[in-house]
Amino acid sequence: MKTHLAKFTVILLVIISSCSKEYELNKSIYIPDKDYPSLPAYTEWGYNTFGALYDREPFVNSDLRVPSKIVCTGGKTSFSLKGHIGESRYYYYESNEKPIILNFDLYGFVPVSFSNLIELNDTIIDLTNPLCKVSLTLDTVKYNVTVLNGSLNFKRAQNLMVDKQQYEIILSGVFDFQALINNEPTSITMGRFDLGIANDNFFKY
Amino acid sequence: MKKRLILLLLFIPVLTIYAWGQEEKRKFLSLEAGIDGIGCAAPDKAYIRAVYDQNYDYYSDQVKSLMTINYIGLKFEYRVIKNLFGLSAGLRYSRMITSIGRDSYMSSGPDYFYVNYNQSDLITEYAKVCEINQKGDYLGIPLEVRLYPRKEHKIKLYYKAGVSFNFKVHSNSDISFFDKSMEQYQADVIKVVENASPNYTTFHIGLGLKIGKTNKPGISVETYTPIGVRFPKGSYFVNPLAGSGLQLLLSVPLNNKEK
Repeated sequence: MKTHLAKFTVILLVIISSCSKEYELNKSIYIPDKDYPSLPAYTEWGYNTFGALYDREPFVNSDLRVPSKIVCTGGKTSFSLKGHIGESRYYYYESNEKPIILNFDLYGFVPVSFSNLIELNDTIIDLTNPLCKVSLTLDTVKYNVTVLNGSLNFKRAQNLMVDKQQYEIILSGVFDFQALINNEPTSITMGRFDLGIANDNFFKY
Repeated sequence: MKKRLILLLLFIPVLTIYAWGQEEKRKFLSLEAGIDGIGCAAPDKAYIRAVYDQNYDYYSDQVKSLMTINYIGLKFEYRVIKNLFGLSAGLRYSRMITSIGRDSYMSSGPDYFYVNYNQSDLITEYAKVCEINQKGDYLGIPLEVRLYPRKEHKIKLYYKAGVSFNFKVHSNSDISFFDKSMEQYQADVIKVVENASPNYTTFHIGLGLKIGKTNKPGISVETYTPIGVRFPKGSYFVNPLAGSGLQLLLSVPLNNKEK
């Protein structure tokens, strides 16, 4: 009985310790913007947040979902921001939140591994460039986006080292554009992101 | 009439003080030793990264600041107003031990937090830290006033209030890393930790219990709640709020001849 208990304790400790590995670095830290408190402030610390105004309505990451994924396939790299638009009123058990995914396809940029994302440091991408395609999924419906003007600016890419070991790449930047979304002129403004990209949200196939 | 009344009112305290002046004023030399435990505000520092959600996480998951002050000193007490009040001043050596740490004993959360110690153009470095400790040695002047009971008892209860002004002599910081192999980078990480306060002031009120007759050597135990600790303006390692303390005093009368 004692041996079983000891084994069980060891297994439990192993599970607990493996679950907790850097899990705090994966959590989102929301620091409100001073001027637009419904958006996260622009930071460069890998706080796993992003936000923008979608026709003046805040579009931000959700706490419990992976805010960003990078997928490299078919000669392009997709940088997607997954969050919600609208708000929940917890006290009234009401929610008009709609899931939204904003996707930037960057053709011709295919990093070998997530650590190569450092090449994006100080890179401005003109979203009207044919090598960049923007798409948007709102409430499970995917829309094609015709960008009229705007840019995606990776202001900073950093290697995040924990105890001298590489853990992730922090991508921080801003975006702003006007587009026709489902033929409706739409502005996505004040966009900012501060995201950690590691093995669990970087995909290559 | 009014002038006379004012004169009389002024005269009464003068007469009283004069009458008290006829009493023998007792003097004591005391050796003090004590410990104060001070609660501190949760650390809010740009270089510390630890996520704590007060709605979902256990209190133990929070990164906490703690402070204790141990001290020893020598005091001279002078009794006034029929030996009812004791005014004392002296010299005190104190060691302030402060720490920031995390011990998630209630949950499976980590027992460490992240310290950002380097951020250059393309690199941000964190170290996993269990605890940051800081020790500060101070020399101080305690000023205290005690209110003793009128009647002579072998064991007597008294009230006390005091302040102390303390000035830093020396301080150092030490980091306990989660991964012991990071010890070699101690000097790099410690650079981001703020210095100990150059001085601090404490103020307190409390109760004391003295064992021994007034004109004989005696032992006193004093307890203070609350104790306030104030740092000068600036950014320091911890942000003290208030706490409690215990002091032990060994007093020797310097003029024990009864009049």
